[in-house]
Amino acid sequence: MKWLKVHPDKCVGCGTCMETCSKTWFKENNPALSRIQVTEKGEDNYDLNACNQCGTCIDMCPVGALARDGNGIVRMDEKKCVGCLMCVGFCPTKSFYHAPKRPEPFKCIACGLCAKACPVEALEIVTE
Amino acid sequence: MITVNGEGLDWHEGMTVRDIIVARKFTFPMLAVWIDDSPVPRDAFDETVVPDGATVQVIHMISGG
Amino acid sequence: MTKEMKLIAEWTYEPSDVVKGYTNQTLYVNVGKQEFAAKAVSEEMKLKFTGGRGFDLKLLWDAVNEKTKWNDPENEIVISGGPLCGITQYPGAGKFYAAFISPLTEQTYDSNAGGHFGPLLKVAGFDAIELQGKAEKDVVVVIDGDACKVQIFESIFDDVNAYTITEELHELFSDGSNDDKRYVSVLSAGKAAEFSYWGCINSSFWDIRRKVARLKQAGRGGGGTILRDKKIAAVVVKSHKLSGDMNKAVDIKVLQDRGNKLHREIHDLDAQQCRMRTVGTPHLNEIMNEYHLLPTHNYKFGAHKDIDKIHSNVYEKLFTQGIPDGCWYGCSLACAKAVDNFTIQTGPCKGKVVTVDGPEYETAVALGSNVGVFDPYWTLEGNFYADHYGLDTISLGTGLAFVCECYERGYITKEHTAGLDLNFGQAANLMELIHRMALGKDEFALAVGKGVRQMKKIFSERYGAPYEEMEKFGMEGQGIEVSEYVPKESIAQWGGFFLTLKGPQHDEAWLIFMDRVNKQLPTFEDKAEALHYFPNFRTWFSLVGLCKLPWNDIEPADNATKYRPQDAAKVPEHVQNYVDIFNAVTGRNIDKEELILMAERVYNFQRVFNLRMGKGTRKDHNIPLRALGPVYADEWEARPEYYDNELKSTGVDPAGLSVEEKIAKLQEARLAQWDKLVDAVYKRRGWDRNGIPTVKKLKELGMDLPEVVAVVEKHARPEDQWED
Repeated sequence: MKWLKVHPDKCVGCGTCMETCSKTWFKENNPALSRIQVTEKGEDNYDLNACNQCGTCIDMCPVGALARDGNGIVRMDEKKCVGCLMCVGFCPTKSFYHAPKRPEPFKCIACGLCAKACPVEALEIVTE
Repeated sequence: MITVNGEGLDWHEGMTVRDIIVARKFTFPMLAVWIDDSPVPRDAFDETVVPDGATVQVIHMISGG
Repeated sequence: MTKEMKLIAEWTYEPSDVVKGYTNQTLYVNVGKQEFAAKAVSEEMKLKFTGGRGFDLKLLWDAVNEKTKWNDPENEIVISGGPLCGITQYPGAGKFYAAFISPLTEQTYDSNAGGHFGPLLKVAGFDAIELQGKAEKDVVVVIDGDACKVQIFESIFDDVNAYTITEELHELFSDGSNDDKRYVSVLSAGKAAEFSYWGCINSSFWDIRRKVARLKQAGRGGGGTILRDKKIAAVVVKSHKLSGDMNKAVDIKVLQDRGNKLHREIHDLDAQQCRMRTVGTPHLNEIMNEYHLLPTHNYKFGAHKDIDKIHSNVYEKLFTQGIPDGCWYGCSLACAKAVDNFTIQTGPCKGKVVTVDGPEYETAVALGSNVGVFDPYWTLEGNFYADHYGLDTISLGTGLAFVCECYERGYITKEHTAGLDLNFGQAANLMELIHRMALGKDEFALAVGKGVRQMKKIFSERYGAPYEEMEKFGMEGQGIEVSEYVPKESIAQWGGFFLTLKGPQHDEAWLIFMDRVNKQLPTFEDKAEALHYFPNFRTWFSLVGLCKLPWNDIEPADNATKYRPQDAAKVPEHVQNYVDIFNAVTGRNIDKEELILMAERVYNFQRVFNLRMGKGTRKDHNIPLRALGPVYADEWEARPEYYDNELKSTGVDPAGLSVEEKIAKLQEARLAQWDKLVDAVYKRRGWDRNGIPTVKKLKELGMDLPEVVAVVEKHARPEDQWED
């Protein structure tokens, strides 16, 4: 299974990952639209939150819009999604996000672009 | 002696909110408990001790649709 | 495959997109004359009637006259979801409300159901549908939201029973794939609805995981009976326009934020609160037993030694777990439980392996303790057949319980029942009676299906049963059977059941704990205030298309400590959510007071509507003695100490009195209390002594429409007005 592993101890809070993510998927530099969220917990202390592909959301979806792809990544069929956000509300790690920009929620699909952009190697794509 | 929802109940030393709930067979899960003028959180029913002479309200939140 | 059904009539309509929760048009279909029309929804109609049940009643008012009977062609089934119906972000937003002149109560009735019909009707382009007229042969009405066509087909189905016809129609009106079937919803009744007044309207949704049609019911009041009287075998709606933004809300952010917060609450707290996600409403079974509120043997008793056999833990094991069991998208409360791989033991489906939808609490008790059967498998079979045959499980259970008591008392015998011993607990014979109700041949089964009010007359006329005795324990009000809570010990709940618009359902108020256990309503004025607020608050859900369960079957973690008990009972944070999501969809700016006002407008309109139909006065608010207290010695003797104390509290010393004397004294005291309650409630609601809304009240509400005022003025008498 492929997923985005986070190393909060290395994070410097520069926000490059969020910029890369939101620009890639929403064509807009807006941290609220990023599928990885960086939160400051204290001085030089950051929390990184992105989907770990656990799959709890798959069983919550009433329309079957969530499924694993060949790499084990949980992907959403946006055409099927009805925007109910049960996947968001029941995510054990609160890594499924939503924004008023569109009805459908969004989450990390381990594309790896943020990991490549991260200047301090706080993010890595792993296969386990 | 304490008052529970307007009715008397014998008091004993160390009596907890949980003891009242068991004594009165209040098996409904959605309870709001007030001792005199203070609310008691649900997760504190077991350890909250009720003083003698207290006025206790054990409110069953309405349910059913 | 539609080619196989003969098209009788077809009408093409202009699509009307949903804006701020409304399509702003309603659909009229006359299955007799084969006429169709789209009617515009005015701004005034939205302001006065809001939607849902409000629209239903407004359209029904215009369709009928004061002489209309349930089976006259002008009677309608009107169905509407309301402006919030179809939002996916907030749990419980897929309900539709159906209104009609009821065969049981001979006045307006409204009944609601989940399933996908309400949301699909809206995206197909209509805020409501009126079904009028009577077809000559069985028809299927189709609203095709993709092609913008309404069609009437001659039915090709020999078997109109709900599961059969529903599955066939999901197949017929989709491309046949599992995913495509979810864009279709079917309304149906069933064979027994042709003979019984207890006919329910089944509303389907396609369960993509189980790959079966699930059936939710607008069960009460006999809507299914009317559907079949109109020779409508089914109504199909289809549309592929479903989306997370189908209501074109003004502010989707509010919907997302409030909805997601509630999902989180349910995620964090449901397991400790009501366990709706795992057991649904049967979580109440053992709780009701513990508080002596579980209807047992026709409401004689409130508890039974065999409760463990129908405990929620038993049902938890029967229900398939881990499936998102919402009857509409986004309902994470997920109480629409189902039992899979159930093998039917009797009747026409014997040997078939099926999914049983339910049982909910009401069904588990109606077809359980109330008829003295403590066998969940029997209950499941009864639940399946009631849905399949198109019977309301609640009226069926309460009606059968009445039959059992008549049998127990010797008023009816095997001679009358065509050989069936129908004592309490006679599971096999009771199931056989249900099958006979769907065959429509047996005289006794036909009589039973007419409901408790008619049974009292028929049993007395035909079998010589004593009418006055049956009046005491026949559990009906306004002609409809009582739902499944023992109301005896709560004065406020006498009102919650019997001072209602449409009879003793559990749609208006459930005050037993507030009144009897919490002692929060000590005076008649307190009870009257609760019987003003809660029925109106609950009515609001019916105007906008919401389910009530996510209101108070889950509550925020701090609800019980943040608010004083009186306020906490209203779940203030959730009330605010409703205000917020209504404004976010419609762009209006209501507050929690306006919410009650919106409901009061329709509540009072419906009361006047019933007056117009020759009901709706004080004498129509009947209550059986069994609802007020013990009627026979065995009831008293089940709780002798408790009832002796009850008698003492009325100022009567029970010492030296026989049980019969005690019962008579308690009845006398409670009937006096009932009168006081009626006065207090009418006064609080702005009604006169005879239960008629005053013109002053209608003016305050902005409901002094000329045709409404005319009805009041025709019936109101000077001597019934309050002095002040």
